Amino acid sequence: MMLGKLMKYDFRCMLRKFGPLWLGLLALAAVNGFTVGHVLEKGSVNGFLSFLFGVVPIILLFSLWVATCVMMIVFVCQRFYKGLLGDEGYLMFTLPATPAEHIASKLVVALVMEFITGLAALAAMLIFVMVYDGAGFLEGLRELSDVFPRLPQGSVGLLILFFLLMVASTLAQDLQIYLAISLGHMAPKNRVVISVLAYVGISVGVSILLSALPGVIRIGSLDLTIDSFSEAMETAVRYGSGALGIMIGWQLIKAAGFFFGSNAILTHKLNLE
Amino acid sequence: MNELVKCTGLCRDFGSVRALDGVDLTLEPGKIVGLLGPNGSGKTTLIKILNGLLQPTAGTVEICGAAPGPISKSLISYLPDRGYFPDWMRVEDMVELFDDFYADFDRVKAGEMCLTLGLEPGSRIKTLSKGTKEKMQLMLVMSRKAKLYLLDEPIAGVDPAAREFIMKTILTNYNEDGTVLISTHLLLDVEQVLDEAIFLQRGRVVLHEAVDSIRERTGDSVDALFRQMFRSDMW
Amino acid sequence: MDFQIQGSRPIWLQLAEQLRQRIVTGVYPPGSHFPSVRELAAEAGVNPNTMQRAMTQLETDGLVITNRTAGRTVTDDPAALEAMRGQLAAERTGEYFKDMKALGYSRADAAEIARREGEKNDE
Repeated sequence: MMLGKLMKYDFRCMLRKFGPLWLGLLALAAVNGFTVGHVLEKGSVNGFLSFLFGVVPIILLFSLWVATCVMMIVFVCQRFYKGLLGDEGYLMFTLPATPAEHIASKLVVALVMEFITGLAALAAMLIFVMVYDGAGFLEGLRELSDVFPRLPQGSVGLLILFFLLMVASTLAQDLQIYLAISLGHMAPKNRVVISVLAYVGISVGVSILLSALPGVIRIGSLDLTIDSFSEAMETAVRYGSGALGIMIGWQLIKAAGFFFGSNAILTHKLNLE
Repeated sequence: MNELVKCTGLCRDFGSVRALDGVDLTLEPGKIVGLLGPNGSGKTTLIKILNGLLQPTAGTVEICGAAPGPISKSLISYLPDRGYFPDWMRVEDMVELFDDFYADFDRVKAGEMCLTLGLEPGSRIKTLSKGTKEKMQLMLVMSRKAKLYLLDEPIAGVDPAAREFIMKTILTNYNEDGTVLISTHLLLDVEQVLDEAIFLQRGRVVLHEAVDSIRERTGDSVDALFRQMFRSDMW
Repeated sequence: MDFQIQGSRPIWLQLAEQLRQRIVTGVYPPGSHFPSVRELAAEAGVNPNTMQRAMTQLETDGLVITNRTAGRTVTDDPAALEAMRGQLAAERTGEYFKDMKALGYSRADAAEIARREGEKNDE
């Protein structure tokens, strides 16, 4: 199937860029586990060397993490803007695939990239703790395995729903970027600026749309932003998994709308230059 | 339905500029056709509409009886007037890509053409010179056994010796059951290769005739007729 | 011995003439397999249909024989080749006398000049 073939090439491109970043994160986490423990805290080396081996690894790890986060956004934008609507578009849109397949391919690969980056962050933290204090880490694991069976009923279910909510809102987020870039593509000049404006415009437009809708739906339609994460948690605790379900549904509705919009623009208003 | 391409009343506007102004055109299989006209006459716009990169503002276009879409794209081999490669790929990656997406791609032929044209499969595209990139593009396009080849200015910006080489490469490798549409404003190098000539002026077809018929009728080359008709459009 | 094409005369005619020349001078030996239309068209840089028309002329002249299974071969009939050689020689000579007449020479003078130049050529 065409979609599979498209994804093959998008995956290759993504792995080339992110493979080194992920490996770097894991490696630096291990290094830091060692240096924070032995250099900074136990003070086995003094003065300048202490700085070099103690503080520099931390700076490196932090910088790499920031770079990875920036790279994530840049990747999502670039693959769509340059990969589909730049000169590469002449190749892409003369392949025997539909615009929908192109969008889907970019989207799936972006999601996988975001997921693995999240996993890499978690793994980095675990590696850090393991290297820093192996014994303590194992004990922590043992304690966790004791706590697990004693958790309230349905906690696992809630966690799964939370995970799905993160996936759904990332989906909507990426598709909003795609729609904004597609809208920018229709402008004769200053396409980048218009895309940024379009992105903001879509968010504003969506909130205006929401505020026009009646009561109950408003509670469940909190967009998952960093600020309202706690609100989302409160809402979930108070209203249960149903509320989470509605939130997931809302993200999916947005995602579908953005997908339709992007597809319509790329099918009918394509104008490569 | 013997027609490979059929355009009826095709129009395309870009804002207030009318690039195509009612194009009626039919192409049959098995011909080498020249799409000729000065810069700005609408050649590239017409080609983009044929391969689905652009939608018409009015009128219809049919490739083998159907509107442009994934099926027509699988039948059309397109050589654009610019490079379109992901920088990070190698020549052999592009061959693999074409092999994956196009059922009519002949991998063996591609390999032979790489040798003939002096292309190193392992080389990274971003390290290649402009001329080598063009050769690679030509190799990929001509290694397909397509029903329609759309070549947009294949010899513009190329030195005269290379032009002859490119024309011979096209002649040696194209699918004889298919049709080749060569868009160019450099008629001298291309005339003896053509079966038919289409003259496009300001978005309209002002002539579509067999090349032999033109030569017999005017007693002179198609290039001479072209110069005469487009005198005011040339600088 | 590349193909030379000019724009104003019919291309198929020019091709036919040059192919005839090649056959008569032995570039394609008698009885040998003749290249395909496509190969020749690519070599000359012309449309295959144009080359086909030239080939058809050669078949009419009897210089090339088309066999359904064996393809095209150059004739090995010495009479046909000799006839064509003679015809080409006559054409060349006719051209020569026309040119000399334009320069103002009589036919007898032209023939004498030809003989003298011919002797010089042998040295």
